[in-house]
Amino acid sequence: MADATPATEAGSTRHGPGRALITVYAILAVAATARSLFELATKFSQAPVPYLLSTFAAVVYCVITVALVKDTPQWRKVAFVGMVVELVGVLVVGTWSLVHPETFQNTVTGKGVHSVWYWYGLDYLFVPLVLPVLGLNFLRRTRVRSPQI
Amino acid sequence: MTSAPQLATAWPVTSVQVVVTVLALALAVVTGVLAVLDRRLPRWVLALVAALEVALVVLLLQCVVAWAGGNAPADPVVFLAYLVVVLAAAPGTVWWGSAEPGRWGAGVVCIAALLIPVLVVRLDQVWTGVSVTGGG
Repeated sequence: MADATPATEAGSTRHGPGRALITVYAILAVAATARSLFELATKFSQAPVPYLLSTFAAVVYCVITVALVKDTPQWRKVAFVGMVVELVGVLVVGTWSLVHPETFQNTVTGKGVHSVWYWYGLDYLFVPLVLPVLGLNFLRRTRVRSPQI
Repeated sequence: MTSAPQLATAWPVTSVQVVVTVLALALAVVTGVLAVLDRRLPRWVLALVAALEVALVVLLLQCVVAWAGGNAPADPVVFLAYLVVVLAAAPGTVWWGSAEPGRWGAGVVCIAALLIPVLVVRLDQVWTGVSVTGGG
């Protein structure tokens, strides 16, 4: 069914694989936002660093989701920057959680506390590690060569 | 299947969970094949989504009955949040995917269909308070 495709799809972040990207980013945005709001509201002081890192991840996912849905050249840049931040974030936080596990500990219960990017996104089946790579690749492949980009 | 121990926090919906998981995986296979074949999302997929939603509503009702009977989830707020997402996932992505002419219309429904079994496992974990993730 190739009837309605070509005109709108070139360079669009809302169509084709972009639609799947938006779906996964929206799911992660909802998951991370709900998680961090709950953590901040109920037990923030017990493990501030992992909970703030979850909040940061939630904000990044929300920004990328909105940027991909908006689908303008400016928002495309926002999505690109967001994905770079996401990739750097998951690598830094993932490595940090392996090297300094004591940072990810509840000071009250002494138990380990995960964060969204803990162990490179273990709680989310490592989707947070794969997604920015797919996203940046998608943006690169669908790039439109024009003065405004 | 072995019967679950009758703890105060026993997960009340083990058999419906199997039905939900099978239906969700069937939906994932169907939409996955449609995506590979580059077909637009056909209307009959709605029947499969409807069956899945019916199973999820049965799951919801069993939870409500158990909850009313004093068998409450360990973490009610998180549990309700997961419940909303698991109910909305398939219809939401059908709406989102039906506006897409190419393979990715079926593709986004496939993503949701793969997510639902994971969410149902999380529902179980949130209900019983036994979690693989560090809720701490």
